[in-house]
Amino acid sequence: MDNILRLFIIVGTLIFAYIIINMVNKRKLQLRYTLTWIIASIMFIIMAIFPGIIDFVADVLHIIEPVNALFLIMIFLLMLIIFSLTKAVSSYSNKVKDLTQELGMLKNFIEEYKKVGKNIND
Amino acid sequence: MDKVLLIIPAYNESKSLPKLIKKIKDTGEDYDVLVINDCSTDNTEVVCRELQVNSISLPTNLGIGGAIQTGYKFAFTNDYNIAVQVDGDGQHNPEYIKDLIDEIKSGNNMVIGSRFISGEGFQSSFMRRIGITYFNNLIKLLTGIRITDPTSGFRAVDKKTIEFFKSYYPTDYPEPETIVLLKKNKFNIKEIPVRMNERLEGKSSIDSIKSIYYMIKVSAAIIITAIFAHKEV
Repeated sequence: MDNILRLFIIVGTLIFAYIIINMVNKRKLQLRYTLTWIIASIMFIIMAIFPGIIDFVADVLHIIEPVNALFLIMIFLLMLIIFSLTKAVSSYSNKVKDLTQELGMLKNFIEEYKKVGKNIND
Repeated sequence: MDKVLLIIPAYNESKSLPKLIKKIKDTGEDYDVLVINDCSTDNTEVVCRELQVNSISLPTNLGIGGAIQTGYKFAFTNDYNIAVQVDGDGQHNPEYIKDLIDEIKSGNNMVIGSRFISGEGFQSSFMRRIGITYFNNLIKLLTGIRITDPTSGFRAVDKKTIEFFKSYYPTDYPEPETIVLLKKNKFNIKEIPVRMNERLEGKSSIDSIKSIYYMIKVSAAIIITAIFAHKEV
């Protein structure tokens, strides 16, 4: 792998990782959902420092240009991150639905309770 | 005496609700009515108050599945024996509610009012009938039962089904999926003939662009439910 590309990946990833960790520290991001990004960053840095890994992957999967193996690994990691988001969205959508239903029933109960209270006071 | 709850999902139905509530009162039966106002943008909430019907106003729009499930959760919490879904748009005639309930009392877990058994009343548009025929065949293929009107939302369910729906109800386009889900969980389903009306106000929740998404989504839901036969309880 070209040295310029390796340097670019290392510097870019370090800046990215710094921003993310900083945001976690400022409580703007939850570590739970940033962990996938941090792990991906570490993997990019390792691959940039030891390009032999990419050559090995390219060799095993019969990919002619090692840089294409790099892209493949990147896409795979991105898909994992997006999938984890889909999972999170589904879980939140269920929770919001349950909360909405619960809140609706509670509002209804309070209204009915008020009516009963009024009748007693009269 | 069985406690009966009518669950009426309503999204912007302020014009058709008064007629529906009047028709329900005209049946002379002592049904408890619960309107689920799915965060309507019109004055459905005010109309419910004026009509003095019990209503739940959801703070966000959940769609038909989430709205109906609210009704089932309410029915479960308040210990109802039978729950009947009646659309808020006036398509369903309250005079048939008694027939649905009678079939529940004879031991069925869910009874569906079908507009296609007698072939009387409003028969839906040509394109929708093609879709319905497709779902009939898909359900027949996957579960072995013949349902003539799988998209009908005019249904009555017993206590066991109320408890089942309380824990899971599909979020959007729930009607065909619930048939397969109940069948796979060994519930009894029966259809009886009813006459439906053309909707008086408002538009169907399924327009031409959404219909393709509808077909794909419901097909996927039915196939997944039928093959993996998820046990809810």
